[in-house]
Amino acid sequence: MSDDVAGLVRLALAGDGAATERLVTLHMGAAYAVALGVTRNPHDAEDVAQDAMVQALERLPECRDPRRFPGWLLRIVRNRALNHRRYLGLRAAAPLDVVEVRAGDDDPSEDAETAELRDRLSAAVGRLPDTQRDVLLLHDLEGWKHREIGSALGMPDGTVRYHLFNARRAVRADLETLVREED
Amino acid sequence: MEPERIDLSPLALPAARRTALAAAVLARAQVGRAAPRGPLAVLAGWARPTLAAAAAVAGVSLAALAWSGTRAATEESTQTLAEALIPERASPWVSEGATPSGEDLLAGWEASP
Repeated sequence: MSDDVAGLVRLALAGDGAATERLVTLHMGAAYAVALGVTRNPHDAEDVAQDAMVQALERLPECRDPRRFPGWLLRIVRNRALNHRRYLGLRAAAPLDVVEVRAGDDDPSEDAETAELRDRLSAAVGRLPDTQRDVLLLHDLEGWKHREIGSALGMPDGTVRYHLFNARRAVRADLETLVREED
Repeated sequence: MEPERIDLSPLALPAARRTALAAAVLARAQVGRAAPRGPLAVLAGWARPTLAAAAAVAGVSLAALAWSGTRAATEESTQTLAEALIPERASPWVSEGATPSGEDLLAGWEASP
């Protein structure tokens, strides 16, 4: 993510279609990753990411500091994802763990092993505290740099590294526990 | 030592889905922007501060007009009322307390416009 995000935001605000498209393309993956961390379901995460991105574009004039656009967007994504999770919980009156099981169930062509691995990863990542989860997804999944994450989430680089360290260690420990239990 | 990077690729949004999702977002955003707005909505969005200022100026002007109009009308109506109640020819009779005769009344009535 090396583009000048603030510049893209300003151009998008001025009605530049190409800049808007670039802004969306650049952040779609991150929006999805954060939504997935909360909903733990790929299809729900797509819906949430899409809705949140549309909302962000509609409310773009409200983004006071264009340099902070990523963090602002990810907050919108997280709030929508939490609302979605609450809605699902109310609708189904089922605990989140039941909702989790749906992940990967509805694509018969998908390799069962891949689906299982994804579900395990998703669950392990989902158990992380919010900040650790966002840092891990943005760094290890979306390839953002420490500085970019720090700027997006409003924290120093050192704090990003700290969260990343703890997140990786927690996920690894979580997955190793699962493997040991199976053996 | 920092723990090794975790391969989270199974969680990644496939490239085709990413493109489709971005296209859907742009289409929805485009529709939202292109949606026709009523003239009132346009006016409200464009000129809300101007309209508010104009309304304030109009309010003050109307109040001033009403106040000065009332004052003028009051002064005018006092004069008109006096003239209506005591016609010019009858003024001496009123001021002197004299009773007009029939001829005087007839002459006054004939002279009135």
